[in-house]
Amino acid sequence: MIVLFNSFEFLYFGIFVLLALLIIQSKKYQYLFLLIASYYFYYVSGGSFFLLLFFTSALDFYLAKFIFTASSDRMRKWYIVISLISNLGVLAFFKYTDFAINTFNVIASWFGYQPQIPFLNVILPIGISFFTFQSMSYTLDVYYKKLEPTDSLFRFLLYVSFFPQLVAGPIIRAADFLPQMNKKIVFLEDNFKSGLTLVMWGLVKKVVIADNIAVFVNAFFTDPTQFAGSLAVILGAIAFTIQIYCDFSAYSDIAIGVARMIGFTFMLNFDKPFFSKSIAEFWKRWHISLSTWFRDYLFTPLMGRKFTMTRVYCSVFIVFLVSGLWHGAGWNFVSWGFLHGFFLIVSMSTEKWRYKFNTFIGLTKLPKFHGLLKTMITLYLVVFSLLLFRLYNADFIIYAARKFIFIDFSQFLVQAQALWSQFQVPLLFIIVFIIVHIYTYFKKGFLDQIVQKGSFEWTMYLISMILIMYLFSPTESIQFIYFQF
Amino acid sequence: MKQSYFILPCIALVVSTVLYLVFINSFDNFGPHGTRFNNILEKYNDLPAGSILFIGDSQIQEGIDCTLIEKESIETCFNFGLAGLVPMQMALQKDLVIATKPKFVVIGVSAAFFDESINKNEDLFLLLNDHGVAADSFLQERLTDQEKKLLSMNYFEKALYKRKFILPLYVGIFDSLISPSEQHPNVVTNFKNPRFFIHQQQREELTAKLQDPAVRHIFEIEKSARRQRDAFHYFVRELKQAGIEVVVLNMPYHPLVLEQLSPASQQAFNNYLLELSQALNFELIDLQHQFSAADFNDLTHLNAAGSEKLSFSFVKGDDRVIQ
Repeated sequence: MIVLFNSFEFLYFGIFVLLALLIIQSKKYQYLFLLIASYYFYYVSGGSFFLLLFFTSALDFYLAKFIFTASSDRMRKWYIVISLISNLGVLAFFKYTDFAINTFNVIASWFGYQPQIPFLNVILPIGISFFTFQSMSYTLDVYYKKLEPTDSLFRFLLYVSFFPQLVAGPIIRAADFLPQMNKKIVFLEDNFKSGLTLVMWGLVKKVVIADNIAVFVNAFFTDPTQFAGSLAVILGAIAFTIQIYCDFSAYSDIAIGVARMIGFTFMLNFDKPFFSKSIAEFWKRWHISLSTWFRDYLFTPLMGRKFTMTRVYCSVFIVFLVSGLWHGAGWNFVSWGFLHGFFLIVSMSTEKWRYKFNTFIGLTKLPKFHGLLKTMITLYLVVFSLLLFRLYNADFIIYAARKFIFIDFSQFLVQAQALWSQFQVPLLFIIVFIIVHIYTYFKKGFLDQIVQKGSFEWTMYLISMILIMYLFSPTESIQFIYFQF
Repeated sequence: MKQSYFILPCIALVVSTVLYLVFINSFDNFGPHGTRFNNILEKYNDLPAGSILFIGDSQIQEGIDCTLIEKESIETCFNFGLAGLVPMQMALQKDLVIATKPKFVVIGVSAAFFDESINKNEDLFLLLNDHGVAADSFLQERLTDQEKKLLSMNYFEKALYKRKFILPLYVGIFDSLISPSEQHPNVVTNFKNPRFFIHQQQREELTAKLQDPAVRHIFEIEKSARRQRDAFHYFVRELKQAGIEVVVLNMPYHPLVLEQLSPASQQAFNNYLLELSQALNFELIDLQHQFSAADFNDLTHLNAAGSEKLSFSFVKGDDRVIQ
C-alpha cells in the first residue's frame, strides 16, 4: 500500500510526526525519530525494499568517506566508479531489466530469431529513481570536492530517506540538506503557516484539478482513434499536460510544504513552466531539481573543458535521451526525450537566424506579442511531446500526431458538443486551471500574501481549501503519476 | 511559536467538515435515475395497500402508463421502473415491497434486465444503504466487494461518497441554461408515467447499434450474470412466500432485435422464464412479439404510443391483474 499524500493515512501519520517532534526536546532524538518515521513510511509504501534503500545509502555513505580520504586520484576514481555502478546497477536491474529483455526479443525477431527470453517481472521499488539519484549526487559532490562527507551515518540515511520527498522528489542535494540538521527542530510560525499553505494548495491541485481531469485523459489515451477530428486530440494532449503538471507539482508542493512545516527549506521544483518562451527555459522551470541534477552530473562532465558547439549538441542530446529513459522504461519515453533534445538543438542552432528573421519582419518591435508567440510555440511543442510520453501504441501515436500537426477542425461544433456532453466536469477543470494559472502567474507571490495575512484570513483560506476538496474531488483517489518513475 | 497556530488548522478542519456535512445532508440530487430511486425508496413509506406495483428497469419505466390504467379501471397503480436497475438491487427492496402489501407486483423483464455490462448503476446500492436497506446472507454472498462497501458505508463515508453528484448537478444546470435538454424533468417524481427517453431513433441508427457486439451481448441471456438471475428468483420467491401475487412480463423488443437475435438465444430466455414461472408459480405474460417498430423509441424502450398500447392491454386484457 502506497501512503498517498492525499489519504487519511498520511494525515494521521503527519499529525503523529508533528506531535512527536514537538514533544521530543533533544535534537539528536528528533532526527533519530525522523529517520525511523521515514523508514516506516517507506516500509508501509514499499515493503521490504526499505532494506535496498538502507544498503544503497549506507554504501554511498562509506564510499564518500573513502573518496574523501583516498590517498590517490586513482583510488578516488575507483570508489566513485563503484558508487556509480552500484546505484545505476540497482536502478538498471529493477527498472530496465524487462524493458531490455523485451527490446532484445523484438530486435532478434527482426533478424528471424525467436529467443523469447521470458520476463523477470521485476517489481519496481517505489521512488527508486529519486533516491538513487539523490544518493549518487552525494558521492559525486564529494568526488568533485564540492562537499565534505558527513561523519554521521544516520544523518546521511535521513538525507536519503526523508519522507516528504522520498518517493517522488524533489531531488535534494546533500549540501542543501545536511547543514539544516545542525539545528534543533523548532516550529516557527512563518514556516508552519507557509508550509501548510503550500500543502493545502498542492492538495487542491492534485485532488481537485488533476484527478478530475484524469477521467478525460484516461478515456482519451485508452484509444485516441475513437475520437474523430483534431479537437479531441488537442484537448486530450492539453488535459494530460495539465494533469501531469498538477499531479507532479502538487506532490512537490506538499513535500516542500511538509518539510517547511518542520523547519527544512527545499528548492522550488516548478516555476510556472507553461509561461516559458523556449524549450531551454521550460527545463529551467519544470522539475528543476531533476534538470539541475542532469546539468551538474551529466551535462557538465560530458562537456569537459573543451567548448565546441558539436560537443554541446551531443551532450544535450545524450542528457535528454537519458532523461527520457529515467522517466520510464519504454521507447515512448526515450522518444519524448529525443524530441526535447531535438527541439533544444534546433532552437540553439537557429537562434541567430531567427533573431534576424524576427527583426526583418518587425516582430522584435512588438516585444509583448513576440513573447506571447514564443510562449505559444513552446507550449505547442511541449504539449505535442507529451502525447508521445503518454501513448504506448505506435498506431495511436501516429494517429494522434497526425491530428495534432495537421489540424482538422471540420465539424468543429459537432466535435465540441460531443466532447462537452461526455466530459463536462474534466473540461470545466481545464478551464478553471487555465484561469487560476494565469491569475497566479500575474499576481506574483499569491501564496506568500496569504501567509502574511492574519490568523482569521489564513484560517478562512484553510477552510476554503478543505471545502473545495470536500466538494469537488472525485470519489476515487488516484495515485500520483510520478510514483511510477 | 504561538500554540494557536496548531489549533487554527484543527478549527479549519472542523468548520469545513461541519459546513460540508450540513450541505450534503440537505443534498438530494443524485442524477435523474439516482434521485428517482431515492424518491421511490421514500415513496414506499406512504404507498396505499392493495396497489399494483410495476417494478423493473427502464423498459417498465418507459412502458407503463399508470394514469391510463387508473383512468380505465378501479386500480391504484405505481410505476417504480428505473433505468439502470438490476435484479440484485430489486431484490434488496423486497422487505420494502412486502411491507406495502400490494395487490400485485408486476415485474417487467427481458434478457437485458440481467445484463451487467451496460445496464449498471452502482450508486443505487448507496441509496439503498441511505434508506437502511441491508443485504441478507443470500444476497450478501452474491454482492461484489464494491457493492458490499456501498451497502455498508457509515455516515461519514456516505457523506464523502455523495460528493460525486455535486459537480455533475451544477455543471448540468449550467449546461441546461445554454442548451435546453430534451429530457423530461419530471421523471424523478413521476410514479405514474415517468417517460425519460423521448428521442426517436431511426432504423439505420438502430441497425448500426446492433452491429456492436457489446450491444448484442445484452440481449443474450446465456451471457448474463448468474447472480442476477439468482437475485430475481429469490425476489419472486420471497414475495410469493409473503403471500403477494406476482406477475412477470416478458417485455417487448424492437422487431429488429428479434430479427437479428439468434432464435436459440430467444428460446433460451423464454424457456428460462417459463421454467421459473412453473417452479415459483407466478403468472407469465409474454409481450415479446406484440409490438411493431412504430411502437419503439429505440431497441428496447417503447415510445408514448407503445406505452399506451401496453398499458391499455392491461385494462382490456384477460389476465387477472386489472379489474
